[in-house]
Amino acid sequence: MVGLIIASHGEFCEGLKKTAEMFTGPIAQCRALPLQPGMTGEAYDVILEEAIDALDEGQGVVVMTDLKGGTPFNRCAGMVFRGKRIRVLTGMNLPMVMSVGLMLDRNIPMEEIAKEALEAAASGISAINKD
Amino acid sequence: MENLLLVRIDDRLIHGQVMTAWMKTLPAQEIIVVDDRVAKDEFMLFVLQNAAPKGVKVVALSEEDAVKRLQEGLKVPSYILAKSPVSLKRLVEAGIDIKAVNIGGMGMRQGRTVIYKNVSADEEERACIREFLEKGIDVAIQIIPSEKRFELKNI
Repeated sequence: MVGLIIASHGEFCEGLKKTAEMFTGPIAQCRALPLQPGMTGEAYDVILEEAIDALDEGQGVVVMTDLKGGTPFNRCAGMVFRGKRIRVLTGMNLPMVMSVGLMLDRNIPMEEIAKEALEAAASGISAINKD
Repeated sequence: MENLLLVRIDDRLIHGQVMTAWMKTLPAQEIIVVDDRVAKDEFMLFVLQNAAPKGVKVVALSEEDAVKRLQEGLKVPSYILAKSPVSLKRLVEAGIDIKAVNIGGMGMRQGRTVIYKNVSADEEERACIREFLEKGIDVAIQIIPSEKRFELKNI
């Protein structure tokens, strides 16, 4: 099964996981990794690498991050550089997490899950127009 | 110099939405990171290239290579980005035409004392900034474009 990591500044990732699970049911093979205030990038690398290695069963791990250029995102880019089997997305939102949560156990390749996740995230952003 | 839109000091280089905010006010196509260590660090460069706003090229040059490159002039609208004023000293002394230096962030660490908010400097860095000011370079602290500038006059 493809794994899922949700990474963010503070507890946003934990909240997002819990909220998504209201729709999808418990997402197995998923971890939320909050970067706590004051935590160094190096300390975050340790928990990130541990989670990737634990979740990668050979099919890879989709990693979602909150902010392009932020520490969780940058550290994930570092993991890509080191050759980890991951696909890193940023600008995560509830539709993104929900879409992946529903795909993980359906034997869909990581690349395809990531592509669908980006589409779900983007199409989830719009405004209500009156008249 | 022509096409030099911003010279910025930020020890986190490209992070969060800060660079995106500057790019909105001053759209550039290239960021030249001047740092002897980053210039030799493929890993850091990969991270920076990924953190940069879409369509913006990031290169990292040693101080020496940056002088050579800048002496040839800039072909596209560009930023110069450094972690510390010390990395820019060589450029200024080589006569590269820098009119202003924006300071965005220099975190607290051993040897540094606070100048203003998130900007701290040690004695060598303060001496550099004084040298820039004496040469008529406008040095100010401003994290994002919408924030008021904090002028550096006596440090």
